[in-house]
Amino acid sequence: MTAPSQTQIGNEVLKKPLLEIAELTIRFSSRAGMFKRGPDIQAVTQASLTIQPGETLALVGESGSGKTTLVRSILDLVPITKGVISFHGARTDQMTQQERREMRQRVQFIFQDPFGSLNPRLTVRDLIAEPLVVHRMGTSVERAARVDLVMKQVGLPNEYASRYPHQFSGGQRQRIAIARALVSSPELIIADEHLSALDVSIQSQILNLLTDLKTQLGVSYLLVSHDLNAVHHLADRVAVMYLGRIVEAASKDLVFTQPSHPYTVALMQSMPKLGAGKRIPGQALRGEIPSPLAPPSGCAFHPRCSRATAHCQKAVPVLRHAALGRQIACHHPLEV
Amino acid sequence: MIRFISWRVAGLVLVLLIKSFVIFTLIGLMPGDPIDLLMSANPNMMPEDVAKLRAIYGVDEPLLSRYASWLFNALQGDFGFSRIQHRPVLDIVIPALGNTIILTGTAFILSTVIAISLGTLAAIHRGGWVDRFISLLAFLGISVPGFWLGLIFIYVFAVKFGVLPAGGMPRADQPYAPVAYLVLPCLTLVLIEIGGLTRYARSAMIEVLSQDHIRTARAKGLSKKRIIWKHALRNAMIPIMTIIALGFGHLLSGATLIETMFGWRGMGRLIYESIMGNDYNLALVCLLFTTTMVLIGSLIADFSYSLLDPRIRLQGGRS
Amino acid sequence: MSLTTTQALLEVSALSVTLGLKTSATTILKEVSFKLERGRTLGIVGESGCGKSMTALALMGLLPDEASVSGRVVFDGMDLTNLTTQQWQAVRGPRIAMVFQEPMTALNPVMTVGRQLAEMLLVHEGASSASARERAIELLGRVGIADPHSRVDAYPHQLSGGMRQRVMIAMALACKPDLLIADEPTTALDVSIEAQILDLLLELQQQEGMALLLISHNLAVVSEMADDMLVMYAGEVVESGPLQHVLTQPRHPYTQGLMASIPSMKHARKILPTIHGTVPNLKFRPSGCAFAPRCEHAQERCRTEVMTLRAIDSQHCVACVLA
Repeated sequence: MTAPSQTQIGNEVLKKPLLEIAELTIRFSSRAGMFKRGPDIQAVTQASLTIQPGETLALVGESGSGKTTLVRSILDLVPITKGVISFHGARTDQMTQQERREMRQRVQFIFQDPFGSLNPRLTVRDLIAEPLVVHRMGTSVERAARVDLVMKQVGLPNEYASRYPHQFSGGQRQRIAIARALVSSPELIIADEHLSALDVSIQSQILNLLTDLKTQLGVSYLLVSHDLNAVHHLADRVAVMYLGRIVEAASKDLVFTQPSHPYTVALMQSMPKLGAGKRIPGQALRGEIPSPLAPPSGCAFHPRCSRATAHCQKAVPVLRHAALGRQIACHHPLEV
Repeated sequence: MIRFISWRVAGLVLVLLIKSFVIFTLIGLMPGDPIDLLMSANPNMMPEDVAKLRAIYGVDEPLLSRYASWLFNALQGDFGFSRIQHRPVLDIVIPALGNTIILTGTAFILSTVIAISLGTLAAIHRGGWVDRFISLLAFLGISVPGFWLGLIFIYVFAVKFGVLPAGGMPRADQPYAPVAYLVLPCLTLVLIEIGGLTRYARSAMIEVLSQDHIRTARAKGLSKKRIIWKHALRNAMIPIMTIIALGFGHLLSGATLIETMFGWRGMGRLIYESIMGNDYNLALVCLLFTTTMVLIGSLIADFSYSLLDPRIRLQGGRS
Repeated sequence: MSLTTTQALLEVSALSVTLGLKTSATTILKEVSFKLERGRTLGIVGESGCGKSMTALALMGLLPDEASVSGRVVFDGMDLTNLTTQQWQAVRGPRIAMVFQEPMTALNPVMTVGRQLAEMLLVHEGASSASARERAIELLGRVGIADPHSRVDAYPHQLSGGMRQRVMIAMALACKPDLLIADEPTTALDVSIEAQILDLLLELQQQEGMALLLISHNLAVVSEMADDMLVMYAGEVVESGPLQHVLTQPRHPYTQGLMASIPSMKHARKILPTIHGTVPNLKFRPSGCAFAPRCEHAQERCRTEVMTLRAIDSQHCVACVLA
């Protein structure tokens, strides 16, 4: 199913999407043991998404869902097997070197590990200024001014500029990473589990920062996260992935209050909730997440699904449009 | 697995072929040849005799054809004659190989056992005086030159106290027990090897002891002895085994010096003597044998790693 | 933490742990006190550096050698601060067991899962290898591992994260301990697997009647599992009491701030209230209340007075002069 290049949500105005991913498939070959060549791993299968300008899309899923692989392929960190990624309507596989470089300027990445993603030998100033240097933006005076501005925006005092990453805490390092992502005035920031290494009280600070930046700068976010609370706080739309496929995509409110795919329902239920009283055992989703090396036949979720039928074992459900702007890939979705 | 072994064996054969050719060529490129030696020993030789001798030994033929005929013979098991000892090369090499294996084998086992024990002890008492003492010993072992150590031993035990023979092979007409001849050269070899190995074993053990599963083992209420033997050592052996297997080749080359010093009739000494005596047939074959030993050692190292570590041996249903 | 006449299973009084030598000694735990009754669940909540994991290690006697411990830890009448190595080996496993955070690294990679399990029975109950293996298979089935007869010979890397954690739990339960300490048992697991493991812990606790000490930085997890709750900050207990009391009426500013800063789906707010600043470096512990530098309500006395846990009502205790 190819996502149309213009998405309609209710009666909203037709807009050209910022980023469009169509039928993306990413396959890796594997090794089994020291001596044999193993089966292929299909990390992502026929995934289609769009992100509108100014929108925050959250990609939710557990291990093996392929969300990190998908997101890394946007910036060419992982090679694509099939499918098309388009940025402002232009296909990435048809871009020239120059256009590709420009895209990297306008699409920035924040990684999960605030410790590993910052070069320990560069000062904060150098780290933040690096994208400007790489993309040859501005004179050195202009760059310095931009770095100062961006540091202020993320709440880093000026005197931090000459220090080194190891002198900072995880939360501060994540701020540095965000500053670095902002400095080239990107249109889209891709954040891959960037909160999970942080303490709860720091997470709230960073969440506020991101909300701030969203309102002030109109930046779009593609958020990869397994933390449903953070997703609920930040996202406009949510796409749920399971074993490489998108199983449900809808507005945040729909996904959280009226989930339709059994997996989404189970995820929402599984999440521990504050103040919900003592846990009642027996409601958890049964079974294990299948290994991408040996995916189940038909719908990958059927072994764990309470609504599965014989049909689910045979036919892979296709992602199709449903009411209220929802997309769902299920043979027996919950009726809403 | 079979494919892996056959692949490596093929590699071994290839290396041997190349090495034999390279050595053969190098020897052939050296100035002078055996006939020159004969001449210098016997200045009265006539040029005609020289030419005739050259023709008999075939040293006047081009290098490649000499190599080809050597190879042809070698593949049939005929490695030629030793020029000095006037015996088939194999008759000389095999016993020498046996002697070397006795010496290096004993040294290998002893140094491995002692080094792992000392390294483990040092790791358990890390930072304490036991650790510092053992680390000092290891450091001394690495820094002290082997030949110097050997000489000191000879002086102390053979000359001064006369309790051990200064060298040579066991002989019936000497008052020493046969094993006494093994003691000093073996001891020297062990002390040379043990320094580096102890340090390595110590750091491998420290690494393993700091891992989470050791904490789990303690939380399970297991005794320290059990934790060391059944949990820590098993894990530490993975990197240690690799080093040991590689060190086997090192041991062989170290034996050259020690064997020569102590007059132990092994491969090491044979290599030295044959090269010095321009006995090319012998030298070539000796070198090929030692090459094979070293390559087998590295093959075992590769293997041991995959055998000891189930994560490499078995890629199960989950990554 | 009910004050009954029967003795609590675990009673910790003024437990303090310092690391390092006299001049550069860092106080990791300061005067930690709490009680745990048989069969009940106590949740310890806090962020990084708060000392919750250290508390668990101190209870198990697994602190590094350089640590010096003071205070009392009484478990079923036994003083745990004075045990010999021999005595510890009889306590760890049969009386108190522990489950750690990272199941992959917490299991021995070169030993099969079955043998690691059977080891508990071999060592502590003198079982024969055959019967230990049988029991191991049984335990694997009990913790919900499918096909235990073949899984028993698997190596840890061949199992998924959830299965490994089940193995850890099986190992912990093998000798039927009175107290199970679970240190962030589900933090490394996916949400759907986390739910399974939490269910398992609850069920097993009810079946075995053991006490559970659950440590987590995830307040929601603790709120679904615990009867009583302890909030730690910078090595000290700042608030403790029955779960519902602490959750609905938090009295310590840190607890209040922590709960408010978690994005809630019920009361969605655009801007989350936050606790500004960061956790202090324990080497330079501020005088007075450790939380004062970050506290909105801090007054002069907060920086000078020593904080102790005071009871607000019979069970709810707070270490704050303003509560």
